Amino acid sequence: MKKYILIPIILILAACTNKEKMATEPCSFEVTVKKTTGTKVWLDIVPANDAAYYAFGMVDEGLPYYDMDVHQLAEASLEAMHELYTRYSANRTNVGSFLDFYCYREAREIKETHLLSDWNYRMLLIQVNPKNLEMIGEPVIIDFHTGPVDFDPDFTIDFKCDGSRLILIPSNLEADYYWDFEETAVINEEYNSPEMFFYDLVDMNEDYEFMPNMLDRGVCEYDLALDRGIEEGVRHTIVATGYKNGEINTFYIKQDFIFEEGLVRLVSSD
Amino acid sequence: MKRLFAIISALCLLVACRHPQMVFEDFDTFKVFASGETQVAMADGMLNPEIRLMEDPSADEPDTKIASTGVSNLATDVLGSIFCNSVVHVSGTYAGHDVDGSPITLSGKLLIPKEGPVKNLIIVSHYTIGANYECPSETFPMEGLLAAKGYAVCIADYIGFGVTASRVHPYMHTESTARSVVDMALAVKPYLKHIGREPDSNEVILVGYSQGGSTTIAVMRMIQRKFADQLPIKKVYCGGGPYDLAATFDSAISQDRTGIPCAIPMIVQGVNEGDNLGLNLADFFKPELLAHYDDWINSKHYTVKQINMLMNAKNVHDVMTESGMDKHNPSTARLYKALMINSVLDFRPQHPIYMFHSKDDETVPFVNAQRAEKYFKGWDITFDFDHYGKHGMGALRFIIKVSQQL
Repeated sequence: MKKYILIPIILILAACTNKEKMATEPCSFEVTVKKTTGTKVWLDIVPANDAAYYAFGMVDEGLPYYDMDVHQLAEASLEAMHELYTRYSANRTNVGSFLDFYCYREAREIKETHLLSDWNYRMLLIQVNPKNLEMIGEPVIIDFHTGPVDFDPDFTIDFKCDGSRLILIPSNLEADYYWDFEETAVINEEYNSPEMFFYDLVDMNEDYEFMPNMLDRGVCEYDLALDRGIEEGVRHTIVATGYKNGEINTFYIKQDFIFEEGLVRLVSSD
Repeated sequence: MKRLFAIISALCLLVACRHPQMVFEDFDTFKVFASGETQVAMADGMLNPEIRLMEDPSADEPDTKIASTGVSNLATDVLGSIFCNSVVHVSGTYAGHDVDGSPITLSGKLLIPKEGPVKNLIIVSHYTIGANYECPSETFPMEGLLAAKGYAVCIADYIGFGVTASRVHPYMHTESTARSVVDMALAVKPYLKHIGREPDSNEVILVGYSQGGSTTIAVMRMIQRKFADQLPIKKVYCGGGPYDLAATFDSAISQDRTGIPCAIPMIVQGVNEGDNLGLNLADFFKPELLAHYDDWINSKHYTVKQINMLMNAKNVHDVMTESGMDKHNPSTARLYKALMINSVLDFRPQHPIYMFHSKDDETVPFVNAQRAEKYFKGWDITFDFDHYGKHGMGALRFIIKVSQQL
């Protein structure tokens, strides 16, 4: 009978003492650049101590800071994060901590996307003291070079309407392209720009390895009358790009439309 | 006769004068069909056993006296900070939306402290259930404990439970499930005002664990985009959620195992129903499961744990066909796309989130929390990932953490 009393007490104690473990001593990190493509890099990070917090800074060769002393660069990166965090949290309640915003703990695979192709980058892994949020030890330098992208600057898409159908006519009928749409207000309020909205979509599709299934080639017709999610009378923005060898390889193409009373009509983008 | 009319008119006028706030309100949105009152803590300080706690869905985890005592004691932690021990719970119907957007009557439960001010409305999305007797309108759900802290708590039954129990539950179809939750919140707000228990603050708090965790994020996305004025969000608390449905399904298929076998057929059927995919379940499931599908899953007679025991599946391939497990198969690819659309990470949260996940969770794998962290990093999210026990124990720890933060 006694054990029935003891076990719950142990469980309660475990719940109460499950405090976050925080490393305030310098820790070593094993960093492996797993793969680079034209615009992406995958890194494996394994800290020697799982309680160590770390953040990332990154510069490319086109920026004046690229050759800056790495310690100073790491300090400046961390300072910029603090500045952003302070600005965000001013006059807000219930805000997550700086560590939650920018820092990681334990082993992670990090993927950076939408980089410039055939370009030098320098990433800095910065260990952060969770007590005072300052840098601990020396930053880890991760240099890498992105590969080429077969860019097609001439690719465009003409948009036409036929009743409830939206028709996409690409300039190159043999090229693969990806497109999607969202309410214009959502894109503006959540993503700030159609490009950022598109970045997120492409990232997610690539993560799922669905991109090959999501691409279209040649003329594509989409019947909005069959789309349960479309809200009538609301302005939507289509974003499209060409896609080749796992990379976006054209400029962004945008078109706004409104679907109302069973008919789709194009509207000029602002 | 004229005199009678005059008296009635005078009485009506008197009533109207005494309750002027009632005149222009529409109270038809939330119709009460049952109500009760529960003391959340018993005289001995323990949790009232009427309060239904989440069972661990794993079929190989028997309910032991030790485990249930431990869970009850953990739940008692929440009771330490309650403001009102007596909670009034009201089951009612409201006007909702079906999977295709058409009108439908749905049900749910509203819980409020019997006395004292009501601080905010907490909108709870409930975890996965199998039996109709477990649905919020039929029980005192675990999350209802938060009402004792001075909050109004509304919990929708979802399509397929409560007054729509004869329908297939569109499990993990995020749009319709989130809509059921939002519709209930919109319905109970005027009701609370009508009964004189309007919350002090107009801001709402979203809470959900497991299926409810991912639904809560979907509710946040929906409110943020469509109902920001009616339901301004204060904070969102989500735990143990399958936020990335495609990754969850994929992980179960690739590892050929899952901590919640019944979720596999429920997801396929639910998304097929919700998105009208027209999939043939025979392409996905082996004859043994197909033969018992309606009884085990759609009858709503069995809890999740009982369904898992009936299925008796150690591996995913025990119930799924080879073509169903091959994502290059056209039907399976179609399902995967729908799963991706029903994942809830494709937006940018504009309000603070507290996200909880136990690393020991075998029912909703930890990969979900890592994916959420990846997509939401840099936004206002507090990540709380640690070894908090299995899925059921994680639910309790989550409620305790939410309770402490409220």
